Amino acid sequence: MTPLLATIRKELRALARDVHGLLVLFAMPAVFILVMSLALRDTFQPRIADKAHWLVWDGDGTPAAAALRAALPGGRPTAADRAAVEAALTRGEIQIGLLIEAGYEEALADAATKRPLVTVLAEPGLPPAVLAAFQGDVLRAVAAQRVNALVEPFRDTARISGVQLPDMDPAAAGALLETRFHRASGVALTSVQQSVPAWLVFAMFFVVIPLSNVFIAERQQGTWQRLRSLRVPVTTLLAGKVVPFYLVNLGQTAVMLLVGRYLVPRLGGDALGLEVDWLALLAMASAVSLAGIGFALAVAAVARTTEQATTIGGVTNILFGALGGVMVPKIVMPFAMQQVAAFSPMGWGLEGFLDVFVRGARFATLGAEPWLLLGFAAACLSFAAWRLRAAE
Amino acid sequence: MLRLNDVRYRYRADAPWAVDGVSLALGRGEVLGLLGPNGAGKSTLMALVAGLRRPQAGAVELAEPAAVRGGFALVPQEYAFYPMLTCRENLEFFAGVLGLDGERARARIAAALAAVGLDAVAERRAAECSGGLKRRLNLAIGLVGDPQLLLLDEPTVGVDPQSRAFLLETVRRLRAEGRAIIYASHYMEEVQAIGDRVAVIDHGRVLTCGPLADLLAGATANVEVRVARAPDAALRARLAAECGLAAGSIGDDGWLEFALPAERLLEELLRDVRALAGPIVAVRHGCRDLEELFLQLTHHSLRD
Repeated sequence: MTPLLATIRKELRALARDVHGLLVLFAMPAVFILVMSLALRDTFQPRIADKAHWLVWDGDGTPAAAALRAALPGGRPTAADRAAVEAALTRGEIQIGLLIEAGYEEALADAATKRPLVTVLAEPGLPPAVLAAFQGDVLRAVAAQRVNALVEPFRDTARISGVQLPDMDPAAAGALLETRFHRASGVALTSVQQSVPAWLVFAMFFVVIPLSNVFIAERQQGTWQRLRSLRVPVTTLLAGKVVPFYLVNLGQTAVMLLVGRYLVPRLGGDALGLEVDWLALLAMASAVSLAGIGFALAVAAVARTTEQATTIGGVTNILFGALGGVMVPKIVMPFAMQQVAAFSPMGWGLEGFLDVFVRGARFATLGAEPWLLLGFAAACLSFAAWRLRAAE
Repeated sequence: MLRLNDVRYRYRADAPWAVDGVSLALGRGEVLGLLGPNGAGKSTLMALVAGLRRPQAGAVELAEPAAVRGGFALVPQEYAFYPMLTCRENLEFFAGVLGLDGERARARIAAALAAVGLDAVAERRAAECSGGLKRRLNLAIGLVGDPQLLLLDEPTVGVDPQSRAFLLETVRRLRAEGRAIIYASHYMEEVQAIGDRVAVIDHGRVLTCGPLADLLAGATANVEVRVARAPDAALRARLAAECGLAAGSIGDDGWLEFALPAERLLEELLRDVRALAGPIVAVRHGCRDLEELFLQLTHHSLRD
């Protein structure tokens, strides 16, 4: 057996018995993926709040008003009066109230009318994106109804002339618009498509804590000295750490994909789309893994105590995560902050994963991110080897 | 098997030498007891011998069979193994590091376990072992490569008397097998019990080195005497000049400390002191042992 194989086997044995450490490495990102996928769902794909969160008052009572209610998704409960809607909003039972004013049907057919036909009452804390989505749905249905109402007087005349005037379905008016994503894998960017790669990257870098602690313990306990006295090269000892934690990182990748694919939708979120190039995904996972492990070894080489390593590694990881769009998605960052993300290794990892998951990147078309990560890994590993040799 | 020629090492260019011109030699089947106060340079010397540091002057020469990989082993003072692994797994790992595998590895592991009496707990996790078992495991790992030169750094720290006796007996057996051993310790009685030669090191220099009997025979013992009447300055000066009263040796309790060279009899010294200082009311005579020799050489001042 070679020293490298012996070291790898030893690390795997020790890792397998560190149940708490493994639990953190796997459970922490899984929980984050669940929470953030559900919490950010409406930020990525604004949709009308479900029926528990909005209420309609029909002050017109005409077939047109009924058609409007029917055109909006889901059968909405109707309030007895305007005051009931306001009271429900005040009590926090709903976030949106839709008021169909009296004279709605009549106003639809009046081309000269400028007054609002319906009113949306919104709770001030409602996310703007959700409000905009609701407004869009209502406006689309009202616009379709109004087109129908305005052309109605001319239908008979047009029919005699052999012209077919449009009869728009308020519920299907959205079909007139199609949105396509450029360079897309066919999967829109949902909260789960963002959260899985984001927290996977964070978790892979999180090996800094267990790895550096193991490493520093070896140095403090004299094991490092003992191994070096047996003429085991520093590079072999470093490689002996890289391989087992690389396998751990691949395990994390598999588990987080399963969480995103099967667990998140069970709890009401979207399912992770996995129509990806698996070779590209493996390449990105490998690049992120090596960068995280390299960073962990560099921290371990600098820190003298496990407390120092935990502090340095933990704080740096949080900074990398905050800047790189892990904790706050880049799409909600101002443009200037999005530029800063380009300097975070976690940002490179996240962008690379998004290329694979959302932009349909294949192995051959991966961008600069994996190379940046591999460069970062090489720099960190070289620094660790130099520092450890110098410390002797 | 091991020869150090005028070896020097310091940690920074502006720092004093941690090892300052040390020359030593060690042959097969010999135990060299290495003594020194904290910070004397013992660990640095061990690191130089183990190849963990390179001497900045002089040379460390290892002869066959210690020069080959696994031919020597450092057993650090710390528990230098993996607590999550069992005793056997630890040995398997270090055997693997040495390039041993298959039947050869199994045989060496079995021999190492047997040498320190760990067979019965081989499958126990190291973290769950007692202090004595951990010390034995620490030594067993050092033996797995069948080294001919062993560097033992405080191998009995923190163990009970039974474990200590067992470890000392193990060291004797290893010596009897022809292995050369450097045994660094703060426990004088251990070094006295197993050391064929003793080296006392302080401030990076070897203060004395040789067979224990020779060192003790040439040593100066101390005698403390209490006289009925406290001597004044003039009398102290005469006692220093004629009887070897150690400078500044009068304690608060009135004891006078005299050096007793090997060639002088205790009876003669007491007679001379009585003649000068009057009746003697009490005598404390330090026997010539290793601890006394050590304190004489390294002085009583506290170290790190």
